[in-house]
Amino acid sequence: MISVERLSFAYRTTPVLTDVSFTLADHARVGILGPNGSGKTTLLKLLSGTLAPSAGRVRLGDVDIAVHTKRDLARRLAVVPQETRLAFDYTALEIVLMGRYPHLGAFEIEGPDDLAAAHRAMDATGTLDFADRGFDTLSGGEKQRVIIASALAQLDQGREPAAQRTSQRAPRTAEGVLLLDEPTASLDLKYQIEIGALIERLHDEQGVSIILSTHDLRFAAQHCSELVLLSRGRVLASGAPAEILTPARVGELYDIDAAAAAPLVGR
Amino acid sequence: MTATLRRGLPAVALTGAAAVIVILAAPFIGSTSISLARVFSTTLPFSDNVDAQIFFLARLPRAVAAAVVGGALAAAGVILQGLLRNPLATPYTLGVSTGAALGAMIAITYGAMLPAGGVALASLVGAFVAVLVVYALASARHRGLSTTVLLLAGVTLNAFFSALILFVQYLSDFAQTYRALRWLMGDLDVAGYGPIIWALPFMGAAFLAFAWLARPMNLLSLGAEAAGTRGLDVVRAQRVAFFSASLATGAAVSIGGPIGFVGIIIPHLVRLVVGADHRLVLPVSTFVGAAFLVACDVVARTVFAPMELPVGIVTALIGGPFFLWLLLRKT
Repeated sequence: MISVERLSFAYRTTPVLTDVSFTLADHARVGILGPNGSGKTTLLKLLSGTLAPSAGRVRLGDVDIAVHTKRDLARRLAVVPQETRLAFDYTALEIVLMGRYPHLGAFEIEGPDDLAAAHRAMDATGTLDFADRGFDTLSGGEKQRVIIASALAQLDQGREPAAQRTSQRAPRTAEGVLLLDEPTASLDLKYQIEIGALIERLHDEQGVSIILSTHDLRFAAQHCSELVLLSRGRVLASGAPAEILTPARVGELYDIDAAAAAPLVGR
Repeated sequence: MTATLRRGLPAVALTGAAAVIVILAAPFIGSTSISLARVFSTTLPFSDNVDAQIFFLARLPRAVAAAVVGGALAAAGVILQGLLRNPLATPYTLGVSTGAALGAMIAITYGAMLPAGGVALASLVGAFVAVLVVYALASARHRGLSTTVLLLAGVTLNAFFSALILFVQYLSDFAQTYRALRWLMGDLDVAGYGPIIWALPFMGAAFLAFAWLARPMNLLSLGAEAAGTRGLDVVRAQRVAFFSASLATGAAVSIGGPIGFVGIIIPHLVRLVVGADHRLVLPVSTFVGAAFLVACDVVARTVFAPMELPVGIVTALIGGPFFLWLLLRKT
């Protein structure tokens, strides 16, 4: 569970987020929805601990994320940025294995457990076929899936004991929170649909909680179980998509006429 | 262990062995030919064995110096390229060598009373001053290190120190200017093992840091933020990278002067063969850089024998065209 308590953030003197509070249940699929400049990306950076808030706090479980060590936090919370540009050309598998960093000691080399975790993550994201290809040779959608696989490998606690596998539920080796910053922003429709399906599958089968930012109403309504509407750094509304996506509110969110917003929410 | 890492391990062993062979073979090449049998003769006492004296006292220190300098410059190049996320960065991009050069120029011009090794010491001090100025600029007004400011500060400091070097040159006499110019060309004519032993602690510390940095450097390739969300203490890794690469570069320059191009062409060639993983690129670059500079120094010593070329000219003659090829290949 993630709870955000009276969170504020300012770049120097410009306030970006003001008094943001909400609570997200375990295993939720949460969309942070808002127009450009509403503070979505900043909010994600605060949730991942990349930025430190000016006021308020973010709690993961019962503990303030500022208290976690970076490695601890990284094992429970992984981020998929909007776009990844490499300085040097690594293979897809090497990128995925970089997700194992918080699980390894300073001079430790990835062992069989880590390779198994990478394999599971690449299997789940359908990236095994190009494991040994250079990242720069992949298409935008493939790159995004490799980065998601890297995040999954990062959340993989390596717990896949054969004894427990027979127990009531399917094995859930990847627990934790996956943060995705505008996962579909630079993708065409085909890949948008693909990533949407992948996110739902990861949520259902891997047991990870999803928090994503987007300005795509349709995508948010379709793939998220909860939405947080963000406008000019403040929470406009939060709740289930069907309840809060009214023409009036969407009009207010995007600064357009409610009449123009109505078809966007299917009314 | 990844498949690439496993495939790359023979490359580490192979280049390591090659470096040792080149270091041991290089002293046999030169204007006076010496024989293997006589060098390692057990019947002749060392004081009467001219071949052994040439091997151990004249040529081997020089080969070892070339290896240490070449290995350090290549490894420092790898680290700085990773830190700046820019494959065209060199060990000299951040002003270390110009700082060292300024120190050396001042010592040559005003340090007539300095003991032997004074120029080397002054160059090391100059390098440290440059490093601290660049670091102060890059970490001011910024949480952690800004690589953009780091790059800009380095380039600006290079230009500024170059102006100061010219100023010192202007004030010096002909003999001093000649010595200064020769220093700037890069020369491995070390007299004995002294300079190498002296630089060893710096090199040791730097390479220890490099070993730790290999994996953090891989993560930094994703970008500082992505590296941070994977659990890396980015600011600490950047600091360690900056200071260790500067330390290795400063020590290398204090031995051989600002020898160019080793720090950029070797890492590039090595990446083409072993891939991007720094756990391979770092050791292989170190070994190849060592062997390369030893070979270049043999060419410098022999091509116009009995005249010697400064080794910096040889590396530049090879490195310049290579660099251009690299630029053209990218586009």
